[in-house]
Amino acid sequence: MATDFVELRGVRVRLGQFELGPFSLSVKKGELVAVLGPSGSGKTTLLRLIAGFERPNEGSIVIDGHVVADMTHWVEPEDRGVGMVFQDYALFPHLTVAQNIAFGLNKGDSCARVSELLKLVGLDGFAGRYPHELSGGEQQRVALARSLATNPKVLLLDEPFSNLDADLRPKMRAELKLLLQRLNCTTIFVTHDQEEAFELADRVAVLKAGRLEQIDTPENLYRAPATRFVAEFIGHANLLKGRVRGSCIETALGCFILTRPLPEGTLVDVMVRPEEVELEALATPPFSPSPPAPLPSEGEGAGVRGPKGKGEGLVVARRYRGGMQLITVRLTTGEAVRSLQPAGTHFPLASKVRVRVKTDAPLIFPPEGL
Amino acid sequence: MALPLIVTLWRGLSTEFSLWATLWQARVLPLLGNSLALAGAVTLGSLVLGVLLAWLVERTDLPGRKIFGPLLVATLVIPCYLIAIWHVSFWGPGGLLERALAALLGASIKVPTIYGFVGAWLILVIATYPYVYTLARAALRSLDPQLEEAARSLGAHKLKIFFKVTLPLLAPALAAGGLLTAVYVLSDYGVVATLRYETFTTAIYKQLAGRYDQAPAALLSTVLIALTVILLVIQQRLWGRGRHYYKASQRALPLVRLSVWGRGAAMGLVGLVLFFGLILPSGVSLYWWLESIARPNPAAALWGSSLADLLRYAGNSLFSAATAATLALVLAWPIAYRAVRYEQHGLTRLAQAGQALPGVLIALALALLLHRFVPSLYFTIWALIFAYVIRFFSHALQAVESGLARVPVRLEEAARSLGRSTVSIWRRVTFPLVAPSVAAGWTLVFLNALRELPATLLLRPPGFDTLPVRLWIAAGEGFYAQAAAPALVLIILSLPMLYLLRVGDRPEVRHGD
Amino acid sequence: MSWLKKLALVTAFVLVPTTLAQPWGELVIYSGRSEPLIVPVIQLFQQQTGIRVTLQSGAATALANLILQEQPNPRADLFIANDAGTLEFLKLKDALQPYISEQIRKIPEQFRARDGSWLGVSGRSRVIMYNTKLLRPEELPKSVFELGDPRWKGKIAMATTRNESVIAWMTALRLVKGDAFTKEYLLKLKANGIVTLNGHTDVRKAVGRGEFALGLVNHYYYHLELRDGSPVGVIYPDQGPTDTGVLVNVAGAALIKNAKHVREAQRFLDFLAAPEAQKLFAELNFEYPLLPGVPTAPGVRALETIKRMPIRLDELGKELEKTLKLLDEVGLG
Repeated sequence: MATDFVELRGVRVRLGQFELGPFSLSVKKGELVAVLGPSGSGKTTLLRLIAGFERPNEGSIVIDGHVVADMTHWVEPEDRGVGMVFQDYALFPHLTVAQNIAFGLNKGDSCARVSELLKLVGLDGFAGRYPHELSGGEQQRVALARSLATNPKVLLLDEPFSNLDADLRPKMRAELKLLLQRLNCTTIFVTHDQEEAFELADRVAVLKAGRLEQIDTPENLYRAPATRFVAEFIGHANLLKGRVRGSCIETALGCFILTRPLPEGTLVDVMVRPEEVELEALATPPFSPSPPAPLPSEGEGAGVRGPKGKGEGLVVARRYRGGMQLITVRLTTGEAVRSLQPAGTHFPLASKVRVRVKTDAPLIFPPEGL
Repeated sequence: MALPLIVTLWRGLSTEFSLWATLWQARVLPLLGNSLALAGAVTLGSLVLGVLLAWLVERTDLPGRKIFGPLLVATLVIPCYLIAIWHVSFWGPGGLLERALAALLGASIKVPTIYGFVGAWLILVIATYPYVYTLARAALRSLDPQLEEAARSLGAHKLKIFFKVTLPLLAPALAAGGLLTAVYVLSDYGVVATLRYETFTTAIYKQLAGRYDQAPAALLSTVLIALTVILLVIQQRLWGRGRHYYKASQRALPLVRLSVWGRGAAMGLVGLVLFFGLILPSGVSLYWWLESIARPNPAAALWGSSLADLLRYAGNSLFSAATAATLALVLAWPIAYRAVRYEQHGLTRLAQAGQALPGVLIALALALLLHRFVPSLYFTIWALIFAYVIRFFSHALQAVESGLARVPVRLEEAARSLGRSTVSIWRRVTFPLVAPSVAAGWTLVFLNALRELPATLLLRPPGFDTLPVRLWIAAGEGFYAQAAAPALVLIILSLPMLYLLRVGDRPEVRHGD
Repeated sequence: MSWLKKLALVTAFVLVPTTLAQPWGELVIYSGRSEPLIVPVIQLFQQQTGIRVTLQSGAATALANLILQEQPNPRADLFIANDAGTLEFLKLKDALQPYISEQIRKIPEQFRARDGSWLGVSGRSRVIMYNTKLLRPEELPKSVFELGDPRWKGKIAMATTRNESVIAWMTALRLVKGDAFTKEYLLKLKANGIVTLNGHTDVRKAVGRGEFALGLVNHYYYHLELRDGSPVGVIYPDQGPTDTGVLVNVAGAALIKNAKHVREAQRFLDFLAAPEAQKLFAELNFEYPLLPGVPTAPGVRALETIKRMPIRLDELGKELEKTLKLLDEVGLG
């Protein structure tokens, strides 16, 4: 196992009503880890714990082999060697760009280092400006340069792109990725944007309501979410209600093969990614005026149609995303299933479709509430 | 409103050069030295005290800080000339302290004199620190905590953070508070007169009251106005610059934990400030009042300190202050409306000129003007009320402006689109929404007019004595027991100020000089 | 309550006649005297005549200024001042009207204006009071001109130079000793750190408390302070055969030109010259009664035993403005 450069062991912190942890997390040297989670999940608190702005109630935090926080040790933030870029950058408004960057430096060697950093972040010639004279992207780069100036052991970024315009983000992301790779700096950054996390991070930690759900590579997170939450939060997951019968799981889309033994009659949720859902148009009128929505195959809908599950339903929503469209189909059982289709294919609203699942070994989660 | 300013300047600048030459050496230079020394020292003192107290209350775990927070502004309830008078009657020669010491120890011990620079400095610092304190508190609160955290993550230690981040960020607020203090000291009459320290205001007052030729007074006034205007211009500049520094932030910074000694020292400091500013003045007023009851002076009747007289003075004070406040707001409304809705601020600035003028100067200028152009108003209570309006107009204006600024113009447009007339809109939409601000502004003008002293002394019509005038005259001749009753009534009438302070932490509350 | 009603109420409040707040009596007096020293006299007058009096007390010079500015339509009927100079000054500015009656003729002519423009009511001499705990008899100054000596540095108090008694004294010095000498003397006093207080009551109390060793006052302030039980003594300076003597000034009253209540004012002037008022001034305030036959209060040095400055009181008025100019030059507060 590679060296754990930053390590949180059994950390728990209480902040008023909110409680984070207990959880453990380790980051290797030079690794770029994203902390992903919805707002209020404790992402920022996690960063503040590592930076030293919050004290854990339990557990310990180790940085580069030194315990910086546990029940007996405490290292002040200013002595941790942790650089932090705040969500709204926290640039000192009364100092120029150069003075901001030089803030953590000793007087003697600051001048050369400042111009080096300015060059690094592509802000030559901005040295004399004040923060309020800069654009959001420029401010972000100054904040980054400022935190890099002291050669921190760990760099923490709190929602680095959230204050930028949407069209500026991809560009800034690419720039940051390049820069961090060049510096080989151990970095932990926080985001609520899955795309951002997947693009930048070596590993992604998913947080929910103060608990660490999973930490893994982006690919594994998508393929094998450890929890139902991760499955739903990352990408769009269809979760179908099912029941174990013999060696298969019965769902509205037919039978799936049971991958691990479960007692007969167990209720489970079956995860199917939208790209694994195929649609086939049925030759019925696209629109039926009769009040009860056409649910023709009432009798056979729940029936087993063979090894690959399939069912029928109505297209109820369509959403275009890039070159694809996400189509929501209401099945005859009332469950909704989303399918990813090329933008060209035509499935009009209220048209009847047949739904087929391509995979036969889907992930299984215990049903909600259990 | 700006007329007094212009008249005084014109008078001052049109005096013969020979007078300038004579007065420059004998009067202007020493006065300039005195006034600037005092203003500088007081500003420095209240900056240090104000910031320290604000920091203790906002950023440390000082016990009782929730109570001390507002209490430390409550010294504004007591007019500062009263603070000065009661301190003199306490520490001064033959005062309460010496009497008590003599009674307790049997030996007569001389307390070091309170008169002069040091005494004036001390009292004025006590009187003015709330300006800095409130501004510094607000600034500390609005300071983005992330900035200090960012500094820490860059390896900066507490001292460096304070001097390189916190203090520079507070600087605009501090500069504003400091300049407010300096302007206040320049315009103060009551404290320096009580503590026998000669500044421009006392010199001008003496010239006015004791000379037939008013050219020297106008000349001294011109110099004082020049000083004040310089300070105000600087203040405007700094205020504008500091604005964009502040950012509202949800997260509060952790409180600094004081050591046992630090806690003791902090409590001592807060206690001392409250003792000087609040406890001693109110205690001494009570003492003298009780003495006037316990040992009625046969001469008391001569001093007009019977209940009927007291009610008459209170009635005079209330009437003139209430009228002035109402008039000020009625006049302020259209000007503020114009300024806010049509972004025309020129008139506003001009109308605020009165704020820059010490009461003595307003009285002087108004006397000159009325005497020449409207002699029928000269030395009537209307002259007095007009002086109050000029002097405190900026409070009314600011209150209405800030109120109007909070009523989106869209609301009025919506009302107009529903077919309402302008007056109807004002009545049914704008005014109800602005009413709280208007009420606050009214109270502010009212309370400041209630305690106004120098202009009242010079402009009051014969037979029209207000509470401040009565207590000032009695205390001026050393009859403290006779000054106690009007003083107490004045303090009680000022109590609504506590509410105002609680509501807005307003730095513009004046001390009534 | 709708806001219209409120506005109406407020307007009504604003328009309350000013007379309500400002009770004018039948006789309006501007007085430059300390209030406790004149109120008993006014009370006695009100009792005797039933004429209501409105009193405006203030600095005599400010009130004199006011009288000048209010002409030709004055509010006040009568002016009371502590100094003949101020009264004479107003006469020269044509702000007074003469009145002489039988009663007034009984006051010696040297104490009133020849044409009856003003009337001296009570006399006072300009003395030095001292604190007996701070000074031994052999240390006492014999002359006001010694006060420029550095040994008195910081030990002397006087009333502000806007006080008309002080101004009159300085005018007298100028008349007797010349302008140059007076200016030099005043500069010496200033260099000696002489403290100018708001009024003579302040001075007497300060000396009584021992805050200052010496105070320049009118003689009755010494007596008032002595009556209050303070350890004070009095020096009548410059009494030697070649010395200048002390200034004896009068407090007086005058009828203002175009006054609206001339008859009441005249009655008040007669009252002031009458024995009852004269006795009040003598007893209450230790002043010299000017009506022959009214005795001085016990303990007060008789006017006849004092060497006085050779000055006519009506000369003080002419010279007033020159003195004020000199004071501005000297810069004494």
